[in-house]
Amino acid sequence: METLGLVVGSVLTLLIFSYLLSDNGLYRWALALVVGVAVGYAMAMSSRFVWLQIIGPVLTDQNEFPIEEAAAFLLLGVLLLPKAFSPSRFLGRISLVGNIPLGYLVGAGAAVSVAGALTGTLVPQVLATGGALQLSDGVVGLVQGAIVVVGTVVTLLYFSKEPGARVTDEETSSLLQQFIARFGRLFIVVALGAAFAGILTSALTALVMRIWQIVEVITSFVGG
Amino acid sequence: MIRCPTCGTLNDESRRTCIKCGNRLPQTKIRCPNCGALNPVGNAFCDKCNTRLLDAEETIPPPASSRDRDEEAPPAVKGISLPTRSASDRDEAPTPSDVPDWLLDLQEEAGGSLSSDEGPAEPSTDEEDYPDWLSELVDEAGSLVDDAAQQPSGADADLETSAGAGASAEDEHVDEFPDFDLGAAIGGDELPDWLDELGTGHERSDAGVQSSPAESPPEGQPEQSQESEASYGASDDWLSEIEFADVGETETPSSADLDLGVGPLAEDEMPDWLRFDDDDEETTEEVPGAHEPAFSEEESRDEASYEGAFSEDAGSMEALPDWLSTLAVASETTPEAGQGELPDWLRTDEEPAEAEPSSPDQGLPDWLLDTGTGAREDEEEGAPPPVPEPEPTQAPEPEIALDFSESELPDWLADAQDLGNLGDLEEASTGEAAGLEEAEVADEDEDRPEDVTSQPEEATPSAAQAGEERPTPAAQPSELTSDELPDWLSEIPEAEASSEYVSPEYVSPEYVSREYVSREGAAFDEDELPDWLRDLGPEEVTEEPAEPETTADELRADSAEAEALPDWLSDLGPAASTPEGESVVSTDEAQAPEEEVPETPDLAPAELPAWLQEVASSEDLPQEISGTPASVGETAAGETETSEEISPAAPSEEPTPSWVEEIDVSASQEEAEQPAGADDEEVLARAELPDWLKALAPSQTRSPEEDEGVRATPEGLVLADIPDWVQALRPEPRAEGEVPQRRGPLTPPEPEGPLEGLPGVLPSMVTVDMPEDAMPTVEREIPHDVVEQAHLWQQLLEQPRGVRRPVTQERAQRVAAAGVIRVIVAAILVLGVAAALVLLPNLASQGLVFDFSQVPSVDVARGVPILVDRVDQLQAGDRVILAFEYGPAYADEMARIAKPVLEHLAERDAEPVIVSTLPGGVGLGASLWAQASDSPAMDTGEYLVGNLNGIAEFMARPDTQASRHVFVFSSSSERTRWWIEQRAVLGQDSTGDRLPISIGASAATGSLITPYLNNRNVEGWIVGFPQALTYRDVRGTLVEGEGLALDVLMLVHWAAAGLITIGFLYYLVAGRKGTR
Repeated sequence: METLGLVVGSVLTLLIFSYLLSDNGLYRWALALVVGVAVGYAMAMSSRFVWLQIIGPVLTDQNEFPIEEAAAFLLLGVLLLPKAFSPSRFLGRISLVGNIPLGYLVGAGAAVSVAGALTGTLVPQVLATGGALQLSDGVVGLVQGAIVVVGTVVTLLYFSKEPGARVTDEETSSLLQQFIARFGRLFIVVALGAAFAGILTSALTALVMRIWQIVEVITSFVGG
Repeated sequence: MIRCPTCGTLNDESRRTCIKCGNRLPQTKIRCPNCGALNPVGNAFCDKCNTRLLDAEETIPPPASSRDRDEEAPPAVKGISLPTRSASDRDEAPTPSDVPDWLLDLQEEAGGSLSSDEGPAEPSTDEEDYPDWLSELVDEAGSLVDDAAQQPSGADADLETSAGAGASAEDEHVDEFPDFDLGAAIGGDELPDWLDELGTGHERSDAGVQSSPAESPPEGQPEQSQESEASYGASDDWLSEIEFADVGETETPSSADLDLGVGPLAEDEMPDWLRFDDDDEETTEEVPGAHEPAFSEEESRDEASYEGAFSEDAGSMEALPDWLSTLAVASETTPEAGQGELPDWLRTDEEPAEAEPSSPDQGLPDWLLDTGTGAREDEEEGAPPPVPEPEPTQAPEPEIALDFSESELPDWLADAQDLGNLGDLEEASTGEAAGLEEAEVADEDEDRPEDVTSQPEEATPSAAQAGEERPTPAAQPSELTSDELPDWLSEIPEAEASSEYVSPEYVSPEYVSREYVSREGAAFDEDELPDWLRDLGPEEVTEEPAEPETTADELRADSAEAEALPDWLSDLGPAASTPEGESVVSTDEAQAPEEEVPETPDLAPAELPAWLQEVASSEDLPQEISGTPASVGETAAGETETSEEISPAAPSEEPTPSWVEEIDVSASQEEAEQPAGADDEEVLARAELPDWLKALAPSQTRSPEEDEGVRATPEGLVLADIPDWVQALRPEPRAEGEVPQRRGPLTPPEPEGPLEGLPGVLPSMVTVDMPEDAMPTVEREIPHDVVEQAHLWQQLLEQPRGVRRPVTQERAQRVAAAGVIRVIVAAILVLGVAAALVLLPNLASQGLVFDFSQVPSVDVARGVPILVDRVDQLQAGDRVILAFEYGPAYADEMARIAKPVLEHLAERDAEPVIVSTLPGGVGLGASLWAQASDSPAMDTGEYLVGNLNGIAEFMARPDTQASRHVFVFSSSSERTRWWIEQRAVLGQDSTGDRLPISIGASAATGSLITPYLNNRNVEGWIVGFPQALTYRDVRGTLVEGEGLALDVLMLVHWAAAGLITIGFLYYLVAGRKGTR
């Protein structure tokens, strides 16, 4: 079974690789298969979770939440159903009622995000940036910390103006501002390069692992 | 003026709703073709935008004033209350040359609607009988009549020339009396708009008059009243308006202005309006508010004296003097001839001694002497310019007697009294005296309120009396009965009551309140006086009009032709045959107007109506009422000679009364303006014709040839001549079939207004069009590429739908090149990896070890030892949360990263809780956990719905908070951040400490989450496959072969780096060109 899985996986991988030559049917077929399987799996997982975690317990009186709360969840979910229809239809016309649960979701998500951003991102990042300048880490650490601080500041200054009005614009910025902006842009380019390197590394890793798997399959069939 | 479409009432242009019915009125404006603004009719340019509304050749000339029209308009045919005679009568009449041409015209025009043979003409309702040329006549005549109404001097002056009118009037037939009831002849509803516009200013009075006749019709003459009412109700208001509007236009009323001499007439010969019975008393009693005493004892005493004088003279009077007839006609209460028919108010016997109207001087009060000057004062107060006097040659026929019966009265006369109700009492200063005098007379007899309406100022212009000398009052006023009263007289009380100027209790006019209120025993009801009578009051008389007088010889000579004249004209000139009608009005006594007037043979009491004698004897009138006698006397004195020249044969045996002198003076003043060499004919014409008639006369005498052109209608009536100015408007004859040439493009139909739906009515605005060959000029030259793009867009837009766009060959070449490059790159990477994976182990087995890479040390992978340490701290059975936030695409890499940790957790017997915000993450995690723990797949994985919210909800669970550690294996920096942030917010364990979190991230995520990893919020992390090997290396579980993968990965990295470098160089050198 595992071998079959490796063979199927290897074949599909080759079909996907066929896109290197051109856009072909094999590639599209493999792509559709992958997407379909992924979506099917996701649908199965969602249905399973919703049924098992929410609807099932309510129907079987095994819900950990009160029935009123479960009914509220259910009602909010039902209100979202008209959103799936075209606005020209009746259910689409009454889809405005779905804005209630959507509003709840957006509001709650914003609140959660803001709270998490403040607590988990901004404050720690600011503290980490300030803590980077420590003599205890030696000169190298101090330099690294200085680079981090400078890079953070100049990068933030680069976005200090409204979108579309860069500080590099000579008409609106002084020379100092332009220098800081250019320096911040340099840090951004380096950061994006590092991110691209990481993505490339991940892709190459996946390629190597995938080819490695194919090689193993092939060697297993060839070498026995 | 705007005619109401509902009721036909004429309204002022400023009104939007009808003053009568209240309905909305249509707009009668010219809409500007440019801005759409409405402009008054006659505007050549728009008031708003100055756009020309009419073509240059169509520009309407400014309306000429009456004076200008008299000067410029050749056929100033005027006259409105002129008689009409049939063609049969014309046979008996003298030749047209005997009659002034203009009078013939008037007569002919009037004859179109009236017939003298039928007696008092029935008011005709045929509007078509009213010719257009009357539009001019109406304006002119109306002004003159109105002028006469406010110039009592004209009536006074008539005394001079109308003395013999009574005698001649006896010979006249009543049927031949002028029955020129123009207003009645023309149906009001059928009147043209321009005529209606003249009469809309008196809608209220009109309404009042229309309603009143039905309330008090004169008994005995129901038909007449009905006729009068009908004619009056025929909305001939324009006539009444004319009458009053033109009051001030006549500058100097001539002696013939109000010369309506009415000789002693038989009862059957008298027009209806002269036939008054004693029943008037009864009738007038029915008039509401007609018996309110408003005068003092003094007034009543004076009035009694007047009445007594008249009553004595009434028995001997055979005919009314002209000037009295003028008064009577003016007031539209025509006294019948015959003494016995005098109304009671004329027969008053009270104080006969004081009333000895042997001469006009005695009988007339001062105000009558001053009335002649009143009009001038009105003119000075802003009255319209006077109508110039006609040329002397225009009035060759002196013997013209106009008489009007009730039914024959034109409506404008009937309306005049009602209009007077609306007139301003103060402004009509000159009329107040006359009205007051009438009021006094009427005050003597409370039962005759309508009689009071007879006023000399309103005197209908009569033709020149044919008196030989100074007119002798031969006419005898007849009794006026209420039954015989015209409707408009019977309507006076109602009209007065309805007038806004008179309250039901009656508010006395100023002059009345000022002069007469204190009198005792005043029986006169002021309500009976219309305003227009009050306007004739004597006050504010400042000037004496100079009137030309007619000599007796001239009059006598002309009297021979009286029979040849039309009857209605001869009625006005009986003085020539009246033996006692000779009187000379001397101005010597004008200086003493208040003296006892001695009797004069010229003005015998018998010839004077009682009421006039009473008037003449009003010596007690205050000075204010009589105007300015001193000045008048002075003026009159200076004019004495002139008047005597005019009337040399006047046997003034008795001293002329002062009032007569004053009249004479008023007449002579105007005469003084005439050239000394004026021939007798001119003088006669001037003496015989009233001003208003003169004004109506054409400026040029029509030649006999023109007279011959007068044609008779089938009914025997004579057609009128079309004035020249009307002829000038006649369209030019065109040949048959000729299409009239248009001056401009046909404008669209008017959207609204009276011209609605009519195209081409208004000239279109001159438009300036662009030449056909004009091309727009572009300052800047359009770039070539823009033009090409525009053409391309044009081609694309012009292509039919469904046409496949051809793919250019160049793009196909590019695709092939890119594919080749892509294949090359793929081949390098794939083949390189495969080769490495195949060859490197074989080479290693052969002793050729190529160590392309090394497992990163803990110095590089700083989070690995921390993670190992945290996992080692876990106890068996500790609940750990395993979050797998990656999909199948990153499963190979993430599996290599997560598997060392899972294996370690499995070794630690940790109780995992597999969760994921991705549907596939749960399965991947469960599968990986099964591989790592060498156990069946977990069935406890949980899909966290809602991404961030799901994480937050999960972290808030008590079970989660009871967990010992959170391990997040993520290929997404965002999802990693979610877990870190929510753990910072909600991740607290049972001890209150934050739930520790460790991160296993892909190489792509590692660089993005490094700040979180280095801020010590994360306890251990693994970034990328190399650090996973480090984790194994730290733990000492590194397996052989995994190093091979790392070497291959390093080779691939170098290969990728080489390809990137080549591509960079390629694009650096040639790529930019290829991109272009």
